[in-house]
Amino acid sequence: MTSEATRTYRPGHPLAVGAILGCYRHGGGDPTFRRDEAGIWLGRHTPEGPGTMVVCSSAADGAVIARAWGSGGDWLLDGLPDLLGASDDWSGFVAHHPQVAAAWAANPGWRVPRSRLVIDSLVPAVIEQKVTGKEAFAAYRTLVWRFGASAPGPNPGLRLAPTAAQWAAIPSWEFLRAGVTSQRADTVMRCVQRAGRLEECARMPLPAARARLQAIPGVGRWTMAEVGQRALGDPDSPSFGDYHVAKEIGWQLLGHDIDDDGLEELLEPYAGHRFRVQALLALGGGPGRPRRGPRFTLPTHLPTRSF
Amino acid sequence: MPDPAATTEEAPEEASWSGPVGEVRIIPVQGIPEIVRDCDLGAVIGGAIAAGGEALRDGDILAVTSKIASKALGLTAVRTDKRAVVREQSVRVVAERMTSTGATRIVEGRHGVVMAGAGIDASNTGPAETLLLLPDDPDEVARELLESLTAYLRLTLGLAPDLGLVLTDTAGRPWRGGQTDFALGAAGLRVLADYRGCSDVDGRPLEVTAIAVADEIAAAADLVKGKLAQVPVAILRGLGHLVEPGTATGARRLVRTGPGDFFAMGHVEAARAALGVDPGSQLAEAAGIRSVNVESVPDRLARAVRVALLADPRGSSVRAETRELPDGRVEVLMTCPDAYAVGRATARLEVALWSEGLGEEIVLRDA
Repeated sequence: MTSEATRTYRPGHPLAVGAILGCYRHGGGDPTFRRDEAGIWLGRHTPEGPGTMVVCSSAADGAVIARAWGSGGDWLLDGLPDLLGASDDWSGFVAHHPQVAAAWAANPGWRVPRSRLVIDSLVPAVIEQKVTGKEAFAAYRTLVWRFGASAPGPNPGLRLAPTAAQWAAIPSWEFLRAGVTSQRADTVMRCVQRAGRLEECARMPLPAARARLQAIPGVGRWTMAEVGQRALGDPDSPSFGDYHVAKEIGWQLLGHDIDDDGLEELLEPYAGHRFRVQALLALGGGPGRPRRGPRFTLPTHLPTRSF
Repeated sequence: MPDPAATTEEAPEEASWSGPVGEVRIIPVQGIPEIVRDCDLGAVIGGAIAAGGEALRDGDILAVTSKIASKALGLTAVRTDKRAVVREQSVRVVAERMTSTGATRIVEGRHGVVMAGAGIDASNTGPAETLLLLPDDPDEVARELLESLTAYLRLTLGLAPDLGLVLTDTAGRPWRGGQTDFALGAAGLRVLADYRGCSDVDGRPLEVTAIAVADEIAAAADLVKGKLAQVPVAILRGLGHLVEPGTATGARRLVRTGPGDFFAMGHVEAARAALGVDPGSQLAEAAGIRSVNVESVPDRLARAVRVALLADPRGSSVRAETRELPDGRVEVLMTCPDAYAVGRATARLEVALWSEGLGEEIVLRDA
């Protein structure tokens, strides 16, 4: 497919396209994600090849219109409903806190997305391990620009992340130069070398998929959740191990910081929907945790260069 | 406002002693026979002291060579493979070097002390071809020996003096040539004179001074004992202020390994261990162990390459070719179809070269 194809999705309920798809943007300069008057542009490698899709919602009738290019365009269009949470099951979800109820009421159009593209979410998640977003986004952006290709279609600024094979061929010093330390680069390598098995996670029951992801040394609960929240439509894997999430949720629901153990306990009544609570609270409602103290100092010991 | 002078008196209990004021005598105990397994060592020592015309008094400290305690306890091994015995007697290897007779290893022994060859002794071990081992719990051995000596004195001579006992061994020390004796085990005496919290003569607080008096006792006693003179026991008289009957603190208190250890591993071993080649491991043997003798640059380079590649999960796919350049430098060409693997292996080689004291310059060449 070289020319443009179009698909319209009518969800039959409010749908917050921007809020749902925002999770696929890894930093402001992520060249695989663009937003303009045409909608949200995604450049992605699919099982059927490279594809570009631009998604916009029509305010008039609630329909979502997507256009796509490239040999993976049809695959992306076929996945549009899933990408926007059509398979997200809310049954059994009850707001046990007024703050959660308020956030839900304020964001009726949010759904857990499901891109079905595991490596696409896994690699940036590994790069985002342990470091500040600023460092991780810069590293991902650098590597995508250097080792990824142009995305098909009419948007010249849109890029594709490297394919698994392209990631695997990147020399170690290029990771280092981009600011990805060898521990994380080794994990990226372990992941992309097992890309076939890992992509299967998108077609597996969630518990088996979570286990398979975490069987890779260097992929723990946090990274697994990052993938679950984007690629697998996992409503129950909140970001345990995150630097901010437990503290933010603790602040919003209890008025004070909590740690992962506290979060585990606090979210127990939401079993099956724990990520839903995290996402709803992040989208809004209550006041966020006050920021105190300076930002982290960025490290200067790595041989990073700007290109 | 508290009286500043008063605060200096609130030193910890251990710091309250004022130190020796008089003369210290060190008396060799002659006439101790060759010790055999299961003999009552306390009675042998007590008998020799009495036979020499000396009577033990309150405050005397005995320094006893650990070798005779090991002999009495029958702590021997057959002298076939000393390295295997060292491995068996150690919990951790600190450093290792090849010598003309094989690998020498500095290890943390089962007794906790860091010593060359786990303190295993092949000299003066008696006529049989045996190795003499150190006890696993030297403080317990010192305690039992002190008890058996005290029992002997009470039953045969009707004496009950308060004594201290130090079980001594000989070891080299990093940064110092030669060997000295140190306290391997101790019973009935204070092993550490802790001055922390006291003030010096100018009134400044002492923050780190804690004297290992049990080691000083062992070293002093060795001045009259000695390996060649066949005097395994000495009496120190005049240090009664250090004797503490029934104290639970032994020489183990003087062992400084674990979190407080600044020097847990040799510098070569630390670099190799960071690459997954732990000292004492089969991998270390396979990669090769640095020699105490001068080695050629190609030999050291080849060992660095083995260290870099052997423990590298991707190392088997990397080829390293070494050749000498016309200007006398040596080049290692690292190649691999996998650019990631060759980069990681080269970074490992940098570290491995450092462990061999070899400088390097890395140049990227496109295949």
